[in-house]
Amino acid sequence: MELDELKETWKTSNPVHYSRKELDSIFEIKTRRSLKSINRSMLNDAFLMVLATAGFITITFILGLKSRYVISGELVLVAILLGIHYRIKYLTINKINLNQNSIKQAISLIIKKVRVYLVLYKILTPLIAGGLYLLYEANAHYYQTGSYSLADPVFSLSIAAGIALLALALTHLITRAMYGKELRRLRQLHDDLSVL
Amino acid sequence: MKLKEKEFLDQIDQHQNIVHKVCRMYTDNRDDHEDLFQEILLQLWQAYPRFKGDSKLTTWMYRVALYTAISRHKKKQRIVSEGIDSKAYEYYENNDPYRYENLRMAIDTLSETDKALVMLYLDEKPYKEIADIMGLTETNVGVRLNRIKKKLKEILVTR
Repeated sequence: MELDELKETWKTSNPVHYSRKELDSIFEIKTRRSLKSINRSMLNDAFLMVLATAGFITITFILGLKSRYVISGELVLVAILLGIHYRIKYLTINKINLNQNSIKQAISLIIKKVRVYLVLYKILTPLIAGGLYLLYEANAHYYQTGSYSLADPVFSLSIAAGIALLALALTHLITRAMYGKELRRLRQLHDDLSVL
Repeated sequence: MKLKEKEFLDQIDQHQNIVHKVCRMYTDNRDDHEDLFQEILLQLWQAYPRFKGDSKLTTWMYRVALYTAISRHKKKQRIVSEGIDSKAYEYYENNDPYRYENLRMAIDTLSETDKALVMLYLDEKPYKEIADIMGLTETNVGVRLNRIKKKLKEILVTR
Protein backbone atom coordinates (compact mmCIF):
# COMPACT_ATOMS: atom_id res chain seq x y z
CA MET A 1 0.00 0.00 0.00
CA GLU A 2 1.28 3.44 -0.89
CA LEU A 3 0.46 6.79 0.60
CA ASP A 4 -1.97 7.67 -2.19
CA GLU A 5 -3.82 4.41 -1.70
CA LEU A 6 -4.21 5.24 1.98
CA LYS A 7 -6.16 8.37 1.05
CA GLU A 8 -9.34 6.38 0.41
CA THR A 9 -9.03 4.40 3.63
CA TRP A 10 -8.28 7.61 5.49
CA LYS A 11 -11.37 9.30 4.11
CA THR A 12 -13.79 6.43 4.53
CA SER A 13 -12.80 5.00 7.89
CA ASN A 14 -13.65 7.35 10.69
CA PRO A 15 -13.61 5.21 13.82
CA VAL A 16 -14.53 7.89 16.33
CA HIS A 17 -17.25 10.48 16.31
CA TYR A 18 -18.67 11.97 19.46
CA SER A 19 -22.35 12.79 19.73
CA ARG A 20 -23.21 16.32 20.77
CA LYS A 21 -24.11 15.02 24.22
CA GLU A 22 -20.71 13.33 24.60
CA LEU A 23 -18.96 16.46 23.34
CA ASP A 24 -20.84 18.65 25.82
CA SER A 25 -19.94 16.29 28.62
CA ILE A 26 -16.22 16.16 27.63
CA PHE A 27 -16.19 19.95 27.46
CA GLU A 28 -17.91 20.37 30.81
CA ILE A 29 -15.83 17.84 32.72
CA LYS A 30 -12.46 17.80 31.00
CA THR A 31 -12.20 21.30 29.60
CA ARG A 32 -14.20 23.83 31.59
CA ARG A 33 -13.73 22.28 35.02
CA SER A 34 -10.05 21.46 34.58
CA LEU A 35 -9.34 24.93 33.17
CA LYS A 36 -11.19 26.51 36.08
CA SER A 37 -9.24 24.43 38.54
CA ILE A 38 -5.89 25.21 36.82
CA ASN A 39 -6.67 28.95 36.78
CA ARG A 40 -7.90 28.89 40.36
CA SER A 41 -4.83 27.06 41.60
CA MET A 42 -2.51 29.43 39.68
CA LEU A 43 -4.32 32.46 41.12
CA ASN A 44 -4.20 30.97 44.62
CA ASP A 45 -0.46 30.33 44.23
CA ALA A 46 0.14 33.89 43.03
CA PHE A 47 -2.00 35.34 45.82
CA LEU A 48 -0.26 33.24 48.48
CA MET A 49 3.15 34.21 47.10
CA VAL A 50 2.34 37.95 47.24
CA LEU A 51 0.78 37.56 50.69
CA ALA A 52 3.73 35.56 52.07
CA THR A 53 6.29 37.98 50.58
CA ALA A 54 4.46 41.03 51.93
CA GLY A 55 3.94 39.30 55.30
CA PHE A 56 7.58 38.35 55.75
CA ILE A 57 8.79 41.78 54.68
CA THR A 58 6.39 43.46 57.15
CA ILE A 59 7.60 41.18 59.97
CA THR A 60 11.27 42.02 59.30
CA PHE A 61 10.39 45.74 59.53
CA ILE A 62 8.19 45.35 62.62
CA LEU A 63 10.95 43.44 64.40
CA GLY A 64 13.42 46.06 63.24
CA LEU A 65 15.87 43.43 62.02
CA LYS A 66 19.22 44.86 61.06
CA SER A 67 19.28 42.95 57.81
CA ARG A 68 15.63 43.64 56.93
CA TYR A 69 16.53 45.23 53.60
CA VAL A 70 18.60 42.23 52.60
CA ILE A 71 15.95 39.72 53.69
CA SER A 72 13.21 41.75 51.99
CA GLY A 73 15.33 42.03 48.85
CA GLU A 74 15.84 38.27 48.78
CA LEU A 75 12.11 37.68 49.20
CA VAL A 76 11.35 40.10 46.37
CA LEU A 77 13.98 38.36 44.22
CA VAL A 78 12.33 34.98 44.78
CA ALA A 79 8.93 36.49 43.96
CA ILE A 80 10.27 38.05 40.73
CA LEU A 81 11.86 34.78 39.64
CA LEU A 82 8.66 32.86 40.37
CA GLY A 83 6.76 35.51 38.40
CA ILE A 84 9.02 35.02 35.38
CA HIS A 85 8.69 31.26 35.74
CA TYR A 86 4.88 31.56 35.77
CA ARG A 87 5.05 33.80 32.70
CA ILE A 88 7.21 31.31 30.77
CA LYS A 89 5.36 28.17 31.77
CA TYR A 90 1.74 29.22 31.53
CA LEU A 91 1.55 32.30 29.37
CA THR A 92 4.28 31.70 26.82
CA ILE A 93 4.79 28.01 26.19
CA ASN A 94 1.17 26.95 26.68
CA LYS A 95 -0.64 29.85 25.09
CA ILE A 96 0.22 30.64 21.54
CA ASN A 97 -1.55 32.67 18.93
CA LEU A 98 -2.26 30.43 15.97
CA ASN A 99 -4.90 32.78 14.62
CA GLN A 100 -2.50 34.87 12.56
CA ASN A 101 0.59 32.67 12.76
CA SER A 102 1.42 29.38 11.12
CA ILE A 103 2.82 26.58 13.28
CA LYS A 104 6.40 27.48 12.31
CA GLN A 105 5.91 31.20 13.03
CA ALA A 106 4.23 30.43 16.35
CA ILE A 107 7.09 28.15 17.42
CA SER A 108 9.60 30.80 16.38
CA LEU A 109 7.75 33.44 18.44
CA ILE A 110 7.65 31.20 21.50
CA ILE A 111 11.38 30.47 21.27
CA LYS A 112 12.14 34.20 20.96
CA LYS A 113 9.92 35.11 23.93
CA VAL A 114 11.34 32.37 26.16
CA ARG A 115 14.86 33.49 25.25
CA VAL A 116 14.04 37.06 26.31
CA TYR A 117 12.73 35.78 29.66
CA LEU A 118 15.84 33.65 30.13
CA VAL A 119 18.03 36.69 29.50
CA LEU A 120 15.96 38.55 32.09
CA TYR A 121 16.57 35.69 34.54
CA LYS A 122 20.27 35.76 33.81
CA ILE A 123 20.63 39.52 34.16
CA LEU A 124 18.31 40.07 37.13
CA THR A 125 19.47 37.24 39.37
CA PRO A 126 23.23 38.05 39.45
CA LEU A 127 22.55 41.80 39.64
CA ILE A 128 20.15 41.49 42.55
CA ALA A 129 22.30 38.87 44.32
CA GLY A 130 25.43 41.07 44.06
CA GLY A 131 23.44 44.18 44.97
CA LEU A 132 21.98 42.53 48.06
CA TYR A 133 25.46 41.61 49.27
CA LEU A 134 26.60 45.24 48.89
CA LEU A 135 23.48 46.36 50.75
CA TYR A 136 24.27 43.94 53.54
CA GLU A 137 27.86 45.23 53.77
CA ALA A 138 26.72 48.85 53.83
CA ASN A 139 24.16 48.03 56.54
CA ALA A 140 26.76 46.22 58.64
CA HIS A 141 29.12 49.19 58.30
CA TYR A 142 26.32 51.58 59.27
CA TYR A 143 25.59 49.69 62.49
CA GLN A 144 29.30 49.65 63.38
CA THR A 145 30.28 53.21 62.48
CA GLY A 146 27.08 55.14 61.76
CA SER A 147 28.22 55.77 58.20
CA TYR A 148 26.24 54.24 55.37
CA SER A 149 29.10 53.16 53.10
CA LEU A 150 31.34 50.21 52.33
CA ALA A 151 34.22 49.56 54.73
CA ASP A 152 36.50 48.24 52.03
CA PRO A 153 34.91 49.05 48.63
CA VAL A 154 37.38 47.06 46.52
CA PHE A 155 37.03 43.93 48.65
CA SER A 156 33.21 44.25 48.83
CA LEU A 157 32.90 44.82 45.09
CA SER A 158 35.12 41.79 44.40
CA ILE A 159 32.97 39.60 46.63
CA ALA A 160 29.80 41.03 45.03
CA ALA A 161 31.22 40.24 41.59
CA GLY A 162 32.01 36.69 42.75
CA ILE A 163 28.48 36.27 44.10
CA ALA A 164 27.06 37.64 40.83
CA LEU A 165 29.16 35.16 38.82
CA LEU A 166 28.08 32.29 41.04
CA ALA A 167 24.44 33.40 40.73
CA LEU A 168 24.85 33.56 36.94
CA ALA A 169 26.28 30.04 36.80
CA LEU A 170 23.52 28.70 39.04
CA THR A 171 20.80 30.52 37.08
CA HIS A 172 22.21 29.09 33.87
CA LEU A 173 22.12 25.56 35.27
CA ILE A 174 18.67 25.91 36.82
CA THR A 175 17.06 27.49 33.75
CA ARG A 176 18.59 24.76 31.60
CA ALA A 177 17.09 22.12 33.84
CA MET A 178 13.72 23.88 33.95
CA TYR A 179 13.22 24.88 30.33
CA GLY A 180 16.05 23.17 28.44
CA LYS A 181 14.04 20.13 27.41
CA GLU A 182 11.06 22.12 26.18
CA LEU A 183 13.24 24.62 24.37
CA ARG A 184 15.25 21.86 22.69
CA ARG A 185 12.02 20.24 21.54
CA LEU A 186 10.69 23.51 20.16
CA ARG A 187 13.99 24.20 18.39
CA GLN A 188 13.95 20.70 16.93
CA LEU A 189 10.42 21.25 15.59
CA HIS A 190 11.43 24.63 14.18
CA ASP A 191 14.51 23.14 12.53
CA ASP A 192 12.41 20.31 11.09
CA LEU A 193 10.17 22.88 9.48
CA SER A 194 13.09 24.97 8.24
CA VAL A 195 15.00 22.22 6.46
CA LEU A 196 14.08 21.83 2.82
CA MET B 1 -24.25 27.00 29.16
CA LYS B 2 -23.04 30.41 28.08
CA LEU B 3 -23.57 31.65 24.53
CA LYS B 4 -19.83 31.69 23.80
CA GLU B 5 -19.48 28.08 24.98
CA LYS B 6 -22.43 26.99 22.89
CA GLU B 7 -21.02 28.73 19.84
CA PHE B 8 -17.63 27.09 20.43
CA LEU B 9 -19.15 23.63 20.86
CA ASP B 10 -21.29 24.09 17.73
CA GLN B 11 -18.11 24.77 15.76
CA ILE B 12 -16.27 21.83 17.32
CA ASP B 13 -19.21 19.54 16.70
CA GLN B 14 -19.28 20.57 13.07
CA HIS B 15 -15.54 20.10 12.55
CA GLN B 16 -14.67 17.44 15.12
CA ASN B 17 -13.36 15.16 12.39
CA ILE B 18 -10.33 17.49 12.07
CA VAL B 19 -9.39 16.84 15.69
CA HIS B 20 -10.10 13.11 15.36
CA LYS B 21 -7.88 12.85 12.29
CA VAL B 22 -5.01 14.53 14.10
CA CYS B 23 -5.52 12.21 17.08
CA ARG B 24 -5.62 9.28 14.72
CA MET B 25 -2.28 10.24 13.16
CA TYR B 26 -0.51 10.74 16.48
CA THR B 27 -1.98 7.95 18.62
CA ASP B 28 -2.47 4.23 18.29
CA ASN B 29 -5.16 3.34 20.80
CA ARG B 30 -8.45 4.65 22.09
CA ASP B 31 -7.16 5.88 25.46
CA ASP B 32 -4.40 7.98 23.91
CA HIS B 33 -6.83 9.18 21.26
CA GLU B 34 -9.27 10.38 23.92
CA ASP B 35 -6.49 12.00 25.95
CA LEU B 36 -5.18 13.89 22.95
CA PHE B 37 -8.71 14.89 21.91
CA GLN B 38 -9.30 16.38 25.35
CA GLU B 39 -5.95 18.16 25.29
CA ILE B 40 -6.68 19.65 21.87
CA LEU B 41 -10.19 20.69 22.97
CA LEU B 42 -8.66 22.46 25.96
CA GLN B 43 -6.14 24.29 23.77
CA LEU B 44 -8.85 25.23 21.26
CA TRP B 45 -11.07 26.59 24.03
CA GLN B 46 -8.20 28.58 25.53
CA ALA B 47 -7.30 29.99 22.12
CA TYR B 48 -10.91 30.61 21.00
CA PRO B 49 -11.22 34.14 22.44
CA ARG B 50 -8.18 35.14 20.35
CA PHE B 51 -9.65 33.73 17.15
CA LYS B 52 -10.66 36.80 15.18
CA GLY B 53 -11.27 35.18 11.84
CA ASP B 54 -7.93 36.20 10.28
CA SER B 55 -7.71 32.68 8.91
CA LYS B 56 -10.40 30.12 8.12
CA LEU B 57 -11.82 28.42 11.20
CA THR B 58 -10.71 25.03 9.89
CA THR B 59 -7.17 26.30 9.21
CA TRP B 60 -6.97 27.62 12.76
CA MET B 61 -8.30 24.31 14.10
CA TYR B 62 -5.71 22.34 12.13
CA ARG B 63 -2.96 24.61 13.45
CA VAL B 64 -3.99 24.32 17.09
CA ALA B 65 -4.65 20.57 16.87
CA LEU B 66 -1.40 19.81 15.04
CA TYR B 67 0.66 22.08 17.26
CA THR B 68 -0.77 20.41 20.36
CA ALA B 69 -0.07 16.96 18.94
CA ILE B 70 3.48 17.61 17.74
CA SER B 71 4.61 19.62 20.74
CA ARG B 72 3.26 17.47 23.55
CA HIS B 73 5.60 15.18 25.38
CA LYS B 74 4.94 11.62 24.42
CA LYS B 75 3.94 9.51 27.37
CA LYS B 76 5.23 6.41 25.68
CA GLN B 77 7.02 5.64 22.48
CA ARG B 78 5.65 3.03 20.18
CA ILE B 79 7.97 0.08 19.81
CA VAL B 80 8.26 -0.01 16.06
CA SER B 81 11.12 -2.45 15.78
CA GLU B 82 9.42 -5.11 17.86
CA GLY B 83 6.09 -4.83 16.14
CA ILE B 84 2.93 -3.16 17.23
CA ASP B 85 0.33 -4.23 19.71
CA SER B 86 -2.34 -5.74 17.49
CA LYS B 87 -5.11 -4.56 19.79
CA ALA B 88 -4.08 -1.00 19.14
CA TYR B 89 -4.55 -1.53 15.44
CA GLU B 90 -7.90 -3.22 15.72
CA TYR B 91 -9.00 0.27 16.52
CA TYR B 92 -8.17 1.44 13.02
CA GLU B 93 -9.47 -1.62 11.30
CA ASN B 94 -9.02 -1.90 7.61
CA ASN B 95 -9.85 -4.26 4.79
CA ASP B 96 -6.24 -5.19 4.40
CA PRO B 97 -4.85 -4.91 7.91
CA TYR B 98 -1.41 -6.31 7.12
CA ARG B 99 -0.59 -3.78 4.42
CA TYR B 100 -2.26 -1.01 6.36
CA GLU B 101 -0.22 -1.83 9.47
CA ASN B 102 2.99 -1.81 7.49
CA LEU B 103 2.26 1.63 6.12
CA ARG B 104 1.24 2.87 9.55
CA MET B 105 4.50 1.54 10.98
CA ALA B 106 6.40 3.30 8.22
CA ILE B 107 4.54 6.56 8.92
CA ASP B 108 5.44 6.16 12.58
CA THR B 109 9.12 6.41 11.72
CA LEU B 110 8.60 9.91 10.30
CA SER B 111 9.28 13.05 12.30
CA GLU B 112 6.34 14.73 14.04
CA THR B 113 6.28 17.53 11.46
CA ASP B 114 6.40 15.10 8.53
CA LYS B 115 3.48 13.22 10.06
CA ALA B 116 1.55 16.51 10.07
CA LEU B 117 2.29 16.92 6.36
CA VAL B 118 1.16 13.35 5.67
CA MET B 119 -2.06 13.94 7.57
CA LEU B 120 -2.87 17.10 5.64
CA TYR B 121 -1.97 15.35 2.39
CA LEU B 122 -4.26 12.42 3.22
CA ASP B 123 -6.96 14.96 3.98
CA GLU B 124 -6.48 16.23 0.43
CA LYS B 125 -5.70 19.75 1.48
CA PRO B 126 -4.29 21.92 -1.32
CA TYR B 127 -0.57 22.69 -1.07
CA LYS B 128 -1.38 26.34 -0.44
CA GLU B 129 -3.43 25.50 2.67
CA ILE B 130 -0.82 23.01 3.90
CA ALA B 131 1.81 25.72 3.49
CA ASP B 132 -0.41 28.20 5.34
CA ILE B 133 -1.00 25.85 8.25
CA MET B 134 2.59 24.70 8.66
CA GLY B 135 4.44 27.90 7.71
CA LEU B 136 6.20 26.49 4.65
CA THR B 137 6.26 27.59 1.03
CA GLU B 138 4.13 25.68 -1.48
CA THR B 139 7.27 24.47 -3.23
CA ASN B 140 8.66 23.28 0.05
CA VAL B 141 5.47 21.34 0.74
CA GLY B 142 5.71 19.59 -2.64
CA VAL B 143 9.38 18.75 -2.23
CA ARG B 144 8.89 17.44 1.28
CA LEU B 145 5.87 15.33 0.37
CA ASN B 146 7.76 13.75 -2.52
CA ARG B 147 10.62 12.99 -0.20
CA ILE B 148 8.26 11.51 2.38
CA LYS B 149 6.60 9.28 -0.24
CA LYS B 150 9.99 8.08 -1.39
CA LYS B 151 11.08 7.40 2.16
CA LEU B 152 7.91 5.45 2.95
CA LYS B 153 8.35 3.38 -0.20
CA GLU B 154 11.93 2.55 0.77
CA ILE B 155 10.86 1.52 4.26
CA LEU B 156 8.07 -0.68 2.91
CA VAL B 157 10.42 -2.36 0.40
CA THR B 158 12.93 -3.25 3.11
CA ARG B 159 10.26 -4.75 5.41
